[in-house]
Amino acid sequence: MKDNWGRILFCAILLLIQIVLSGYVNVGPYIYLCCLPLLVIYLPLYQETGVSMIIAFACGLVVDVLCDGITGLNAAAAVALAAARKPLYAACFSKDNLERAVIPTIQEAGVLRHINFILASLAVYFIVYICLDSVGMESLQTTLLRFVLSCAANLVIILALDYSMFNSRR
Amino acid sequence: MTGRPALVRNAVTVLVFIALEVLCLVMIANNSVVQRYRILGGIREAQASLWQKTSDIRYYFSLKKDNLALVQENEDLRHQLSLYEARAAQETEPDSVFDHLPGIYSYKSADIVKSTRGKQHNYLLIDKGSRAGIEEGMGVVTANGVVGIIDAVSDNYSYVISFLNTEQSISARLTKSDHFGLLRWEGVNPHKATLTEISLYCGAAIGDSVATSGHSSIFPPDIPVGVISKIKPVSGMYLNLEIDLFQDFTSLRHVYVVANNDREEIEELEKEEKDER
Repeated sequence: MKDNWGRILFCAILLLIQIVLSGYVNVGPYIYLCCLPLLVIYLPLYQETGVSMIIAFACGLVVDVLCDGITGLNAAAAVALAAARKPLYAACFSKDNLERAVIPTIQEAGVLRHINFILASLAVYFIVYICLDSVGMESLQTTLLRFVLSCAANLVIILALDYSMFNSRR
Repeated sequence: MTGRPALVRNAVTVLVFIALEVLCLVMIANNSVVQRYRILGGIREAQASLWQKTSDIRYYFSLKKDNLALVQENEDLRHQLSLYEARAAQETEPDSVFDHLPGIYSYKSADIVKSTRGKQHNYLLIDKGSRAGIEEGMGVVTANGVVGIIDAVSDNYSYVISFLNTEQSISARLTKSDHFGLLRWEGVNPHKATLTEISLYCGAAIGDSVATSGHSSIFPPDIPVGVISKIKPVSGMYLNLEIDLFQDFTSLRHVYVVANNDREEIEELEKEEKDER
């Protein structure tokens, strides 16, 4: 019960951070700062993928509505990430962890594996997001630049949040 | 997690994923003009592609029916063509004493049921027999040349001695000079035959075409057979011409049995002449 409240609080904090990032931090047209992927990544692994997708959809919709973007854009990307989460996890970490339903920390899994997992998750998220946002109207260079810069910037933010949360939990 | 429950769970997951993504796309399309335009465009393209594929599949399954109709139409057209050819020949000879033209041919389509290719004496089995009016001695042709001669007939099938038979020969002529000779298969290459005993002075050249001569009651004249690929003088007396056949016997499926409507009359006349001698 306590754990559930913790998760809800975690979601609320991330959504708050997302609103602040979208409303008050302007980093140009090529970078989209988003901590929604972190929220999806850290959904409990024992949860069914279908349930994870519905939670991701709801959170994405909240972000879309509160951040004044195109409604459905973040939701679509979050649902795709929730669907790809377990296969990505199995590919980046050992299957034992998947069976234990535990997300390994940077210290447990190693920095490189952890970064790989976060990067792969961000790639799935931003492929869907950028494709639906640009719908083929932007050039390939612009799209790629947007993708790379967004992935890099969000990786830094997520690792920072991840590290701080891990330290606070410990 | 094993067996059906896992399968059902996966199916439900996929369905939930599709449903949520579709819902997202609908919301995106409703909230942005550009996205709506592109998404609807994509949907229409997918729809058109699906219709095209469905149409292709339907077309594929109706091919057999269409093919049969085309074969029937072709048969009728060939028959009409032979009538026109006969009429044209009559008109070009207004002073002719003959008021009846010999060699009006009729055609009947047939499918090959069985065939051999790798032997010296090859044969074919076609799916039309005496019930369809097929008789021994009738010719078998396609638009690409001569296929063989009917040798035996049952109610529903006929046995055809293939042109790819070393004992079979047909009368053929050079279309340019009208010199004629016997065309026979040498028993080696199914794409080549030899036109024998052609005059040295025929002026044949490589690439000249060869067609049936019509000097028999079996095959109509002017069916293209092949082109000259090699010229070989034989003992300084005449030429043997190597012919590249148009007919590919390795991919033969439909044929036409050709009947000379005056064959009986011609044969009777030949018999009388022999008896008198």
